[in-house]
Amino acid sequence: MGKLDRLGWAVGVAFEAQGLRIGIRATTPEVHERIVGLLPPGARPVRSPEVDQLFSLVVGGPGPRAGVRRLNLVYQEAKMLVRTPELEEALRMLEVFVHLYVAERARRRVFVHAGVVGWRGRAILVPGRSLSGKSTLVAALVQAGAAYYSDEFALLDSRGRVHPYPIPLALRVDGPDRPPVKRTVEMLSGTVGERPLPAGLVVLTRYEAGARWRPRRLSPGRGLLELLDHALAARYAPSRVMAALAPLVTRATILKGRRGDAWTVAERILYHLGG
Amino acid sequence: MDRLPLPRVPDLVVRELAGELVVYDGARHRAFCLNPTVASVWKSCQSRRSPAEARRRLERELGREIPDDVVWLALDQLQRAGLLDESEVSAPHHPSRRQVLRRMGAAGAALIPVVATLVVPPAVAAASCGCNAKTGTNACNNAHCAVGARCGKTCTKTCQPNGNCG
Repeated sequence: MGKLDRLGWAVGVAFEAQGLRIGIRATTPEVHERIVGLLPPGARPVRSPEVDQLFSLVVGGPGPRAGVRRLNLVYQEAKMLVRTPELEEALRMLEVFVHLYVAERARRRVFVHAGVVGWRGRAILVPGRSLSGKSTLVAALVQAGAAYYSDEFALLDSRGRVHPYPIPLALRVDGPDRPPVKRTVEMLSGTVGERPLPAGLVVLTRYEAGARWRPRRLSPGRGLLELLDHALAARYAPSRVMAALAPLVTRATILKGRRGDAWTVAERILYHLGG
Repeated sequence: MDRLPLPRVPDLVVRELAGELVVYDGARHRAFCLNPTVASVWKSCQSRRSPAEARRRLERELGREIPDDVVWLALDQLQRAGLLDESEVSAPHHPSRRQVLRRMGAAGAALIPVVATLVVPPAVAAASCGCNAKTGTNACNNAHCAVGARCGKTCTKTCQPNGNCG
């Protein structure tokens, strides 16, 4: 950490989110606006330089000799997370890791890696890993009339209600190996949900070309087990996570199955909740 | 066996939901869902009952006659899941699922002891981090990956179903 601290830091941002104080510093002032733009929803600036966690962005560029290039590096405390020749990729990954830290260590809410929409007073959760087709299904649900809550995290309170986390949707329109493209919900002609909702449906699915949507219903216990797979703090605070998930899986219907086309499935999901 | 073995207690978080038990093992980062049959035997283990008492408790809870083999199969599953005190397990025999199913009949299939297991991934497994087709490199210093995606430092490997690059 000492070596890292001795680098020339040109810009720093300190903020508070979900009860955590986080700092981000960078070696060039040009990225200041970009860093401010990647903060989690609800983040507010703080003046104190004391933070729970510090992220560092070392901006790359031309090296000391021709043909030599310095990479862009992202650190969390002293641990290097990312090294890439592309500044855009470094910033994107910095955003991912800052949000992940908040999601894992949040003091009051439990974060589940899931897309969320609201429909007829209830939340529909679509948990899933990256590249499972979660964002595509969320976009289809929004375009079918559901209110947008999140593309990345379902935020649960102790009663199992789902709160909005309305970051732009990240859609991989150019294929799975290309960086995602951000789309605001307005670009999809959708609306953003604002109030917390009880969960009505949990859809555990994964895109497979040509698959038919024939889900099976899971029991509350099996549903809780599946959601632990996507709960960011499951290892860090299992007792709190299980307490928040229990009312959710008891009240909501939990469906699991492969899916094909997102549009067809979106209509059937909304129909399931009285669409 | 006079008394059922004790459950392993340290590092476990247990939650009951509609007759099922969800158990999180903090030492191994594994979670288990015990169906109502195994959950009942687990509770009998907690109160150190005899196998016969465990069977009678099951019969009361499930509302039908239960062969002894169901208790032994449930114990076997709990032991395999590492949820019993290892030093205490000495089941007289280990019936197979098929044998128990044959004795219970088709109507009893739903009562067969089942323990579902999950290896709980670290938070970093949720990172949308992978190979960049443009640069042909993986920017992330991250052991976990998205199932089916290309992974590894030079993007030449494929992410395995367990979320590890292989």
